[in-house]
Parts: sequence; structure tokens; C-alpha cells
Amino acid sequence: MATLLVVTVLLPLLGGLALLLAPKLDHKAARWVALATTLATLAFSLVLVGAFQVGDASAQFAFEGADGHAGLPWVAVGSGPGIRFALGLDGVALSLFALTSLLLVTSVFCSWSSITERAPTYYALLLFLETGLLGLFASLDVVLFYIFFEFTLIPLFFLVGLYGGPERRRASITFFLYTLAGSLLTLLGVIALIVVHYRFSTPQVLTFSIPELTEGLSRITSADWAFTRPLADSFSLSQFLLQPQVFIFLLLFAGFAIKVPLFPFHTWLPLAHVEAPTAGSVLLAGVLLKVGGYGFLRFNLAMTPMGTAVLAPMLVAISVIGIIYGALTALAQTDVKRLVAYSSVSHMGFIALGLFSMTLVSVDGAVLQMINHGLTTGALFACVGVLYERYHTREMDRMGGIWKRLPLFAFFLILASMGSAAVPGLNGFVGEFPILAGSFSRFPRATVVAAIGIILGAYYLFLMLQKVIFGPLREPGGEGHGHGHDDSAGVPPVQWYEIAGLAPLLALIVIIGLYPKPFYDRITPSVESIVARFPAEGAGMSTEPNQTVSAPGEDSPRALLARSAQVTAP
Amino acid sequence: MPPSSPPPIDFSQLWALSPEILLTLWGLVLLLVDVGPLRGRPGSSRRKTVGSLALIGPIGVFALLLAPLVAGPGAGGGDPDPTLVYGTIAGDPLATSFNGVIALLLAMVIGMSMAWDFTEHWGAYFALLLWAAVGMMVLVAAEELLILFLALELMTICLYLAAAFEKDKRRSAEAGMKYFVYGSVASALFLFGLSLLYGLTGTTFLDGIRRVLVESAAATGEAGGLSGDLVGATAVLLILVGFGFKLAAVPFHQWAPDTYEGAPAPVSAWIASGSKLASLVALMKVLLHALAPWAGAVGGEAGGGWVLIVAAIAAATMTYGNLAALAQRNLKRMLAYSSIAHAGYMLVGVLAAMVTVRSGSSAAEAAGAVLFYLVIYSLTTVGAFAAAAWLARGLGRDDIDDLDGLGVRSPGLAVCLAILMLSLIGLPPTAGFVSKLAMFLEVLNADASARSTLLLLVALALVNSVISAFYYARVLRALFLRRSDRSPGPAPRGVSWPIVLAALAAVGFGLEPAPLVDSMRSAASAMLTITLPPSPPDLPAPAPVAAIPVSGGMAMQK
Amino acid sequence: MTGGDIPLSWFLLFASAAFAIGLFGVLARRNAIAVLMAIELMLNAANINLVAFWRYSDSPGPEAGPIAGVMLAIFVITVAAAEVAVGIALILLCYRRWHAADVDRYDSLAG
Repeated sequence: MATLLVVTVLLPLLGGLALLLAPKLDHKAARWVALATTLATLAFSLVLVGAFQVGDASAQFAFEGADGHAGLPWVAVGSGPGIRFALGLDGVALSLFALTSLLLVTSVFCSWSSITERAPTYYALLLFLETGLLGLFASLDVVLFYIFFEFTLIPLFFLVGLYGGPERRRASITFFLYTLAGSLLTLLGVIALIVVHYRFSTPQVLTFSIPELTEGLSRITSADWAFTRPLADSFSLSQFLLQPQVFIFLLLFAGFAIKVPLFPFHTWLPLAHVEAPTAGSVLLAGVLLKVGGYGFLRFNLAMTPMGTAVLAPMLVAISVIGIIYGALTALAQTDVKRLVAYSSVSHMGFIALGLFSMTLVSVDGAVLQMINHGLTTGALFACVGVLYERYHTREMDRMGGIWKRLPLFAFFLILASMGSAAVPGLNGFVGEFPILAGSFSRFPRATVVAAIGIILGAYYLFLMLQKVIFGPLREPGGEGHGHGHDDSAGVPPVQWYEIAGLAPLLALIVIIGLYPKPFYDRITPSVESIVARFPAEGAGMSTEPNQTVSAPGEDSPRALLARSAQVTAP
Repeated sequence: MPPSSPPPIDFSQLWALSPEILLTLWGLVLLLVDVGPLRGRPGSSRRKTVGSLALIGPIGVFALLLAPLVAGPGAGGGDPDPTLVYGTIAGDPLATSFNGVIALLLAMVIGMSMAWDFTEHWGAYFALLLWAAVGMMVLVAAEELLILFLALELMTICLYLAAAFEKDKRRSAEAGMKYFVYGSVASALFLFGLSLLYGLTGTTFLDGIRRVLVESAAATGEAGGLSGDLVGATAVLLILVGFGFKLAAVPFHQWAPDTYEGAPAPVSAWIASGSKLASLVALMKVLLHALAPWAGAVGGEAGGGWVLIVAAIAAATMTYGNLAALAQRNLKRMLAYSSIAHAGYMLVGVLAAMVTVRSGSSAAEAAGAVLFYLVIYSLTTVGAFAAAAWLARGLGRDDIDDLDGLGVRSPGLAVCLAILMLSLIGLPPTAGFVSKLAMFLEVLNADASARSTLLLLVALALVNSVISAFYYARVLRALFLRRSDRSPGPAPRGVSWPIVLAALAAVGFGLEPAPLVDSMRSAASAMLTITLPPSPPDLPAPAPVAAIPVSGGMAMQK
Repeated sequence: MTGGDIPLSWFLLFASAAFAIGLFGVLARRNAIAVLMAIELMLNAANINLVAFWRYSDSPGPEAGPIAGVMLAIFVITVAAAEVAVGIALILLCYRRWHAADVDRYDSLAG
């Protein structure tokens, strides 16, 4: 299985290289190669999902090296295990891994007819992006993680910059520099974590392994962390920021917050989304934003839990502002793609709220919501792509009554929107409800405000549906000619490849909505091991120095929360 | 006064100097071939003939370096004394590996030079390139200040002339002139510092200086540093200024942008890579070995030393270089500022190496990380300058905008150039990332007392990397996101193979850095442990001149 | 052992003064030939230092090796000669392009 994981990660890279070496291929051949590669990758990752041991919190499918550390040695650093090529999946990573391989198939279908020029390069970039993302989720080594993290930038830069809309140059450069700026700070934070671990662990080991770092850092006593305390205690802001865990948290936070993107760091997102080709948007919203959330969980929450606890009130406030801001801005859009882009800002705010509330239920919900958001937003962007290919506009005011022209498409769009709007019975609900339920126990006021975001979300999505789907038929192409209404010749029906791309996503939207248990079963143990590191509820606000580790079962609030998780995940 | 009967030179030692000797003689041959058999032939045919002949030089060096490996172990290795010619020149792994690197860079530069006709005097031009390489090789191997000074001069004098070689271009003559004025002032400052150092310690051997300084520090009971030692401080300062000019560190960088822009692209590449590489290795030898007792504390409380000066220079250099690069339109000028910025990063690494040298732990690793960075930087920079040579050949100009549309016309080379830019930014999976990571890890791994200062420097370096992404991204944008109807035409072979080779190195060492890291580590440990050749066992107390009573009242002691 | 009546410090002061004058000349003079002369002055100031230090030192220890101050000075003289030759060549080249020996006039490159 360990070999299969490595093969799954590297397969798209090979496919991409093969495409790069044959630039004379026409787009029909290129898309079949790309489809075959992504389908094979999806099949392999489904095998991995099947082989996954449910209930085990640790990373699975990892190589056991000869020296007792996971993975193959890569760069020796000092006498320690060094930087290693270590891959493995725990429950959280597995879900995102499978999501990535599924959405890649969708994005190949999205590009089926729209990409005709320089198609081999295009599909090669898509496949490189897939390797970057799969490798990122599977990395058990911080340096490897960072390498994949940065590597995803490069194909996306070219996807947006070469195949995007009219403003593509500005969009790709903005996206590139924005993300790069944040990720270098993240690198500094990661290096700081490694060094802190090296200094204070006994015996001193210079390790780069994510599980070993997480484990080792949690064993460092509060005293060595130089009393990280809440803001209420220290009077000077600079002193507060220089507390080690807070400082490292903020460094790590910089890169991931831009990826997510949280409220003040979101400005690159609408531009990149609007200019990106459809497949780029699907992947950007579906997977790349999750990288931020995944990073929060893996690094910020798992490795600097005290810093998280100290900063939680501010982080929750930012998330809630993001939820409301994203929803209100989405409400004001007339471009469908911009609307979906801003809805992403709002929904990612929910995920951040769930993560930073630091209860088992809310973090669980946030992880599932990452999957859900990937599915619904991916489907929404794919639908927008379908619209755009037919009418070459995305202005809602210029269209209406599409139901009559493309009934199947209308059904897809309605289902995806309802999933996104958290209608009970669909996947958005089973993700967002635990988030709200979990965070209510810790931040009740913020949760109430966030709940308004759900209502607003339903409002703008239904407004969009009302304009585009319902009402009298108005088609943008026909307006200029004056007789356009019945001119159906120019609008082809929904094609088989569009159905093939969208159907699996919509099926999963329904399945998760009706029966989320198998998903929670795989996520919860891994989340539980991370949540176990948090200071007990309320400790974040007290004036006493925090305990890093609270033994499971010892404090009642956590036990209580664990019980309520069972209710949500039947 | 020299010892009465110096031991005769062992001529078998000359084998270790064979690369230098080969290149020197080969330069003469090129000169003679150009004025002899090729006399009267048109310039472009002489360019091809002499250039191809010149390539035999670096190839011969490779052959000489590989010969001991082929001959089998024990043939030349296992020498207990790694120094040659009375201990003035080292024949250690550092010298050997850097001879290889310099030969590789030389081959790439020669290749680029064959791209277009920028001069008539090809024999002289290629001979100067080869002799500059000899200077670099000796500079890397020098264990004594006179040899170091001579090598420095040999290298830079050849480069002054080569910089002015582009005919019909005013800016080339100006580049040579500016380089000459700044460079020779720097040499004079360096020499004056050297003379003071000789006066204070009574020796010019790097290891001898170190011993004298250690013993005088032990005698006075102070922990080292330079506080109160006016002459010593002047000497160190002058030597730092001299090296600062060669490295183009702020505030001694003014010559670099003008020279890089004005000189022909291959010469700019040679100045930016080979000259910087050799100067930085020499700087590390002088600072980390000879002047280590004068380093002073980084943390701040105990006595000043050169460490603080270097820290300030490093911070100013990387910040200024990156900010100034943002405003550039010319590719070579942008690369000049980028090379200034990289000098700043490397000085941070030198500081970290100093701190670890003092605390004794893993010194070779920290210094090895700097050497690794240096090699990667040199290779990528030469590749980037090759693009400028391509533009100069095809369009007669070398602005960044002239790269427009190359991503469509020559996708392969454009991808290679993009890889070079990503490596210069320091993005994975390129070697630029690994080298930055390795160096900054060593910085953070350094002594606890110094960590806060060094952490600030690393944070500044990372912020600077972000800034650098802006101007490197401009090259990417020109390559891939813009169209243009002016094309430099297909790249000549001499331009394409350095670019491809550099890109391959950037990716290869990014994915598999272990071999190069290991060899650089062993080179660094050789650099840090070299000592004087075994002299008469009863070592008398050193007699620094400054220790003798000086009538006249000039206080030269601490 | 120390020779003569003139103390070492006099030589050093003289050398420092010559060096300072040379540095000033480089910074203040605009004529390329004058700059070249000033550089020579700086190199020779260092030579005086080297010879003076050698003359006044006790019998040097083995660290000093076979190369002492005088030999350094001799090498520096040859290097200085090489530098002058190169410098004059470059000045001639520039003079042909600009018809001026004033370093401030060489300004085709943005400073």
C-alpha cells in the first residue's frame, strides 16, 4: 500500500511529463491522455480509501525506513533522521486526497471542449498541479510538505496566466506574489518549530517529520514555551506578540490565511477566480483553498495549540467578519463567477470558525465542510463554466429562464446551490451545523452572528437561481439580433462530458447529506488526536499558565464534547 | 628575514597546481594561435576557432581533476599535509572541488562568448577569461595573504580588460573604466589593511595570524573582539572594505550595476559568478580562520568585533539590492542588483558559520551550507546571463522586455529560464530553495546567545526573498505572458547549453542535493582545519612587531 | 636590532598620511590620470608600511615563513605596474570614445 501511495502521487507527474514531451499532440488526444491519467489516479486513491483502517488516528500507508523513521532518507541534516521522502495519510489527509483526485477528473471534463490551443501544455499543468496537491496532503515531512506547497503555485500561475481571461496577467502575478509572500513567512514559522523542537526535546533530535514534531512539541513543558499567556495578562502588544507560541503561530498563520483566504487577506481570490479558466477555478476553490485549512489543522492547531488558544477570540472574530463580508459582497455581484468566488470567502470563514473554536465537534465539522465546500463550489464553478461556454457571458442580468433551454443543467445548478446553501438533507448542512453547534459552546455570540451568514448565503444563492434559472427565457446571445428567444440552434444541449464531470460531485453532495457517518468515521480519530492537545475549555481565558496537554477523559468539558460528537455523527 | 635554508620546492607538488598551470599555458597558446595561424581571417571565423580551442582549457582541467580518480585511490590522496609551496597554497578538497566548479563556469562563459561578434581580438579575449580563472583558482586555494592578494589582482585585472572588450559600444568602455577605478581602490585599501595586519602579527599566513591572535588574546586574558584595538580594527575594516568591493556588498556596490550592464554578457556572467565565488571563499578563509579571534560577540554585551560590521553589511546589502532591482528594466542591470542581494544572503550564512565555528559544533556544516549556496547561485546566475547574451546577439539590446514571447518561440529554453528564476527566488523544488533552507537552518541552529540577532537577519532575508519574487516574476511574465513580434531568433548552441545545464543543475540538486552538500561540507571542513605545514617542533613564541616597544608614543597594543 | 634612529611610528605616520592623501585624491579628483596616480600613492603607502614593519621586527618566528615584508613589497610593485598599464589602456579607450579624460563625463550608463 505504501508503494501504491507513492505511485498515486507520482502518476500525474509522469502523465504531465509525457504530455509536455509531445507538444504537437492535438487537443483531442491530449485530453484523453489527461483523462486516463486522472481516472487511474482516482482509481488508485479509491483503493487507498478502501484499504484505510477506520478508527486509527495515525498516518497510514507510510514506508518504514531501516532506521525506524518513516520514509526514505533524502537529505541528511546533522545526525538526526534528516529530511525524508515520507508519505502517509491519516483520516483528514485521506479525505482531502480523495477529493483532489475526484476534482481533477471533473476539471479535465470542464476543459473538454473549451481548451483547444496549446492543449498538451494545459493538461500537463493540470496534472502537475494534481501531483503537487496529492503530495502536499500525503507529506509526513515538513520540508516535503513545503516543497509541494510551493510547487502548486507554479502550475497554477501558468494556468491562470496563459489560459485565463482578459486580466489574466495581473491576476496570475497578484496570486503568485500574494501566496509567495505568505508562504515564506510560513517557512520561517516551520523552521522555528523545528528549532524549538530541537532545543527543548530530550534527547535532542533534529527531526523534520510532521508526526514526530507534533508529538515532540506537545511534550515540551509550558515553562520552556516561556509562558504563553492570553492578551488580558500582558499590557504591551509587542511583549504579547513575542511570546514564542503566539509568534510562531502568526508566522505559520500568514501563509495559510492567505491560502484560505481569511477576511483581510482575500483580495487576490476574486481576481484569480474570475480570470482563471473553469478548471482552474474548480481546483482553486475546490482544493487549493483547503490547503490553507489543512495547514491550520496540521501546523497551527496541532503544533502551537497554546498560541491558538490565546489568539482564538481574534481569529474567530476575523472568521465571522469574513463570513458576513463574503456573503454581503456576494449579494452585490452580478457576475455569477464573482458571486461564487465571494461565497467561497464566506464559506471558508465557516471552516476557519470551526477550526479556531477548538472543540471536537466544530473541528470535525470544519474538516467535513472542507470536503463539502470542495464538492459544492467545484460543482458551482463547473456549472458557471457550462453557462459561459454557451453564452460567453456570466452577467446574471442578461440571462434568465435557462430552465427552459437546459433543464438538466438547471437541475445540476439548483442541487449544487442548495448544497452550498446548507439545505438540510444535503452536505452543506451536515458540515455547517456541527461547526455552529461546536463553536456555540465556546463563542456563543460569534456563532449567532455567523448563523446570519447561513441565511445570507441561502439568500444570494436563491437570488442567483431566480435570475438565471427561472422566469422568462432570456439568452444573451440573442439580444443583439432582436429575434433571439426561439433561436435554439446556437445553444447545444448539455454534453456527455459535462454530465460526467458534474454527476459524481452531485451524487456525493446527496450521499454526504444523507449519510455522513462513513466520512466522520475516518476523520474523527485524527481530529480527536489533535483536539486532545488543546487547553481545556476556558483555560484560554484564565490568567494561569496553560497546560499544554490535557489527558483525555480527565476534564469533563472535553469528555462532554466527545459525547456530543457521537450525536452528530450517528 | 627568511629562514636561512628553505627546503627545496618539491616538484611533485606542482601536480596539484596542474589546473592553474594548464590554463595559464593554454591562454598563451590561444594568444599565439590568434596572431599566428589565424592572422587575417575574418572575426567570426576566428571567434569560432579560438572559442572551440579555448573550451579545451576547462575540459583539460576536468581531465586533470578526474585523473587521480581514474588512477585509483592512493595515487595522489592520503597526503597528510594538504598545503603546497611552503604552505602558501592549499591542495585540499576545497581547492579541488572549487577548481571543478570554476572550470565548469568557465566553460559556460566561453560557450556564451561564442554566441556573437562583439570584438575582433578573440585570442586576447579568451586568454583573459582563462587567466581570470587561474586567478580565481589560486584565490580559492590561497593560504597566505600575499598569494591571496596576487590572485585577487590577477583575477580582477583580467576582468577589467575583458569588461571593456565590446567594440562600438561606449557603455562597455565605461564599464571597464568604472570597474577598474573602484576595483583598484579596493585593492589598495585591502593592501593597506593587509600591511597593518602583517605589522600586528608578524606573519602573512592565515593560520599564523590566527595563532598569534589566539595567543595574544590568551595573554591579555580577554575573550577576543576588537574593543580598544584601534589599529586592529582599522586593519579589519580595510580588509572588509576590500572584499566588500569584490563581492559588491552595500555600500561598496556602486560599480556593479554599471559594470554588469555595460560589459558584454559573458564577462558580466564571469564577474557575477566566478569572481564573486572566489572572493567569497577567500573572505570566508580570512574571516572564519585567520580573524576568527577578532570576531567579537554577536549577542552584544561582550566587546565589539567584525561580526557586527558584517551583520550590518549583510542587512543593508540584501535590502538595498532587492529594492533597487525592483526599478530595473535592463536584464543585466537587474541581475546585477540581484547578485548584490545574494551577496547579502551569503554574508548572513558567513555570520552563522562564524558563530558555530566559535561554539565548535557543526562548523563545517554551516560553512558548507554557504559554499553550497554559493555554487548554486553561481550556476544559476551564469544561466541567466546567457539569456542576456542571446538577446544581445539577436536584438543588440538586453532589456527584460526583449524577452517577450520567448515562451512561445522557444518553449524549452523559456522553461529552463523560468526554472533559473524560480531557483533565484528560492522556490522548491529547485536547488535555490534547498540552499536557502540549508543556510537559514544553520543560522537558526547557531549558538543561543546569537540567535535573536541572527533570527532578525533571517526574517529580513525571507522578507527580501518575497521582494525579489517581484522582479524575477517580471522575467517570467515577459517570457510567458506577453507577445512580441521582435524575436532574437533561435538561440545559438553556445547560449542554449549553459541555460539548459544550469536549469538541470537547479532541478537536479533541488531534488537530490546530498552529493553536492556532502562535498561542500568536506570542502568546508578542510577550509576550517588547515594549519601551517609542520615546522620545527619547538615553536618559539611569535614576535608580532606591534609587541616591541615603539618609541614615539603610538599605541599599537591593546 | 631595530635599526637607525628614526622610530617605527614615523614611518607609519608617513605611510598613513600618504594613504590618506591617495584616498582623498581618488575621491576628489575627476581627471582619470590623477585618479590613477592617487591609487598608486595608496599602494605605495602600503609598501612603506610593509617594509617598515619588516625592518623593525625581531627575527620572525616560523609562522612568518619565507615570505617577509620586503618580498611582499616587491610583488606589490609589480602588481602596481600591471595596474598602471591596464589603467592607462582603459583611459585611452575611454578617451577615444568621449574625447575627455574626465571620469564624470563617462555617463552612458544610468548611475
